[in-house]
Amino acid sequence: MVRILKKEKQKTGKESFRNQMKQHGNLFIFYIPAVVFSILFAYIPMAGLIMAFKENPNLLGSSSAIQGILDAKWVGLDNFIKIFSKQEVLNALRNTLIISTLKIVIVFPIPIALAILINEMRGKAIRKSLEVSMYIPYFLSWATIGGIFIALLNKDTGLVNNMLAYFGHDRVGFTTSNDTFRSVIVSTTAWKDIGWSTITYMAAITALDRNQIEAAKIDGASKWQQIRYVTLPGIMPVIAVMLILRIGYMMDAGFEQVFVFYSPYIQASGDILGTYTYRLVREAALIPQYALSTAVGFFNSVVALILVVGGNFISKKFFNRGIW
Amino acid sequence: MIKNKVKAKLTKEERIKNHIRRAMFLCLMISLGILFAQFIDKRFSDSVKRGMDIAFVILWAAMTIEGVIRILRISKKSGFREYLKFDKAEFLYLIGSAVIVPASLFVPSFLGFRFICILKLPNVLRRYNDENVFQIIAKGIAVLLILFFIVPFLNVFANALSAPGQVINVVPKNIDLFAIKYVLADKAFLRSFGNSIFITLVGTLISVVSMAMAAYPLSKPHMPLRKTMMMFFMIVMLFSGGIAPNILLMNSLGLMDTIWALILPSVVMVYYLMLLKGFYESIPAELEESAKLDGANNFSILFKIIIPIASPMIATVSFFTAISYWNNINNSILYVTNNKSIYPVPMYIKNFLGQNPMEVAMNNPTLLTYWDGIKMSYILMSIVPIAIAYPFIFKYLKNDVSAGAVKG
Repeated sequence: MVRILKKEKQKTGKESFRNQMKQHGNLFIFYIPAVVFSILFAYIPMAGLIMAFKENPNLLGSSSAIQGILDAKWVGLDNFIKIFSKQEVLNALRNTLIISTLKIVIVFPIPIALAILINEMRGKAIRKSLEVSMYIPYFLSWATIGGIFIALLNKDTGLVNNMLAYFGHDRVGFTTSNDTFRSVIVSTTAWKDIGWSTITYMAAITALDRNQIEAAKIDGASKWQQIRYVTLPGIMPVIAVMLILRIGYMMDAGFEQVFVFYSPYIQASGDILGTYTYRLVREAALIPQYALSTAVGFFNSVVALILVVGGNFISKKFFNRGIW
Repeated sequence: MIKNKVKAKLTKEERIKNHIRRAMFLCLMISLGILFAQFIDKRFSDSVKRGMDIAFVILWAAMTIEGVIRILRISKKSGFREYLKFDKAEFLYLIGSAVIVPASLFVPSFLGFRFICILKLPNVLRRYNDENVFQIIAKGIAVLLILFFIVPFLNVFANALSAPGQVINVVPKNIDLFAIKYVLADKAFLRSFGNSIFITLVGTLISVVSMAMAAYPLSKPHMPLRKTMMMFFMIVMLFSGGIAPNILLMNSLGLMDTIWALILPSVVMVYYLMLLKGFYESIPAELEESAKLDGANNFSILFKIIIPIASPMIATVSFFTAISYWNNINNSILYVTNNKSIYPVPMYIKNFLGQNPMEVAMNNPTLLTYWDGIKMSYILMSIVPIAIAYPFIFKYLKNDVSAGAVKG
């Protein structure tokens, strides 16, 4: 009893902090590696965001990058005004949003349907072969997937165009035409991610109460009714949480993926914020535009942060689940 | 799942009826497919269009005849009104399509109206046992999906193994191993495998050890400054400095163009850190208390008690960390400018695919004819390690990850 009271006392008040420090202080050692890496590769770049409010640093003329950044003149919000008056940035922003939206609207529902389908399907062989084949793409790198699909969609020799030609259709340059580029991005996303995302929903369905479905069956519910009124409502919380979190990552339209498929032909429909900031630094005509690139990145990060935190807040408030 | 193995014996008439139903279902599906193809894209050549039209009309005629026969039979049995009560959709469809389909042969703009045959769908479906319809549709979709996932791989395989200068889809023709041999003899490619293995092993080791350590104090409820440290790591996950500051940082650390630039930036993966923390929290505190009484210090508690208990979760985290290191091209895109000797496999492939064939084949013109095959052989070789590991991955996925995925 006394001990419990003591613990209660320790939990509150200033003295208890010192006590806790004494008790657990040496555990701080365990933080060291992770904290060092976080500061070095996450927090120091965040400090570099001050570049967004300065002139482009003159790196060649100064002794070090830090000196160059510190020496650059403050320009306030000029960089932001500059980027938002640029057609290219607006185009990249629009593409980012469009591609993300397409991915959510088209790709997001498929794993749900697929999970229900696999769960209800009879025939072990076909179920197993579907499961085996659908997880593979997730474990490939975007570089490999890019190579596979660029060849598959090639205008002259690709399988898809061969089929189109066989049916008397014109050949289409899928990866080099502004009309089709976004659908390539969406369908490759589907190819890579569908199988993987299905796992979550399958687990959610397995966790459902089997008795409810049996009861519905006995009441004479048809297959569609069972799915519509029992299974779907059962996994609805999981779906809602996944959807909210997915919307939180809206600002990330998939840098690696778009980078792999990118070519100057499709700039109008495929240039996203990620590839744009990359080109500002790496492929700018004269000098790397660090300040502008940082400003775009800063905008992107802030919006992404708001979306993720907001999404998590909503999903915690209404569904009691979140990423933290 | 319980299987319905008991089959009632069917009379000959019923069996015929079943066949007709199946045939109707097939007709309907094919004609909808044709319509869909015609509708989403009007760039087919004229002869193909004509062929599609004819096929559609034949299918339509078959369905119509079956429908009319049914009307006659049912109205003879129980009156026309009874039929109309249950099959309004089909009747509507019959009347409507009798006008629209012949008209659409001559008036192209009527094409869209042919979608009226969707009205037939609920009717045909209702005539089946519910479960059977679902199974038919489910299996059809499953087969299509399997093709969707597998055909790209078959295409890579076929292209890598075939002699150049022919149309190759999914089956290799005139097997020619030149391209594969060329790729296997490419020393730089083999070195990129070495790089990838090094990056994956060292990266996973550093990453998992530092995360397994940091998760321990985070999981202690009475740890001082716990909230602050959580915040510290959450910010790492939620906010980033963007591309430019990271590149400048790598420059000033002197890590640019070194293999460490491909390992160190992604050491702390906060999501997995939180998974580990959650798992540690579920370990009963009594275990530690008793170890403490025995005089164990923090290090031996963590490494001898906590980590062995948490080994399933640590294995899962290591697995995903390793996968993300193996597949990462982000770091090599950003932090490698001209030192190609440190490229990991994915970046090597990305770089090779972007090359101009004319330059590579300068002193070896045969390469030019084999160019497509060589590209595909590189891709094939990059898939091989994953393919070898896949049976284990799959088994592992089925057992552990699917169970752990929901909890996290």
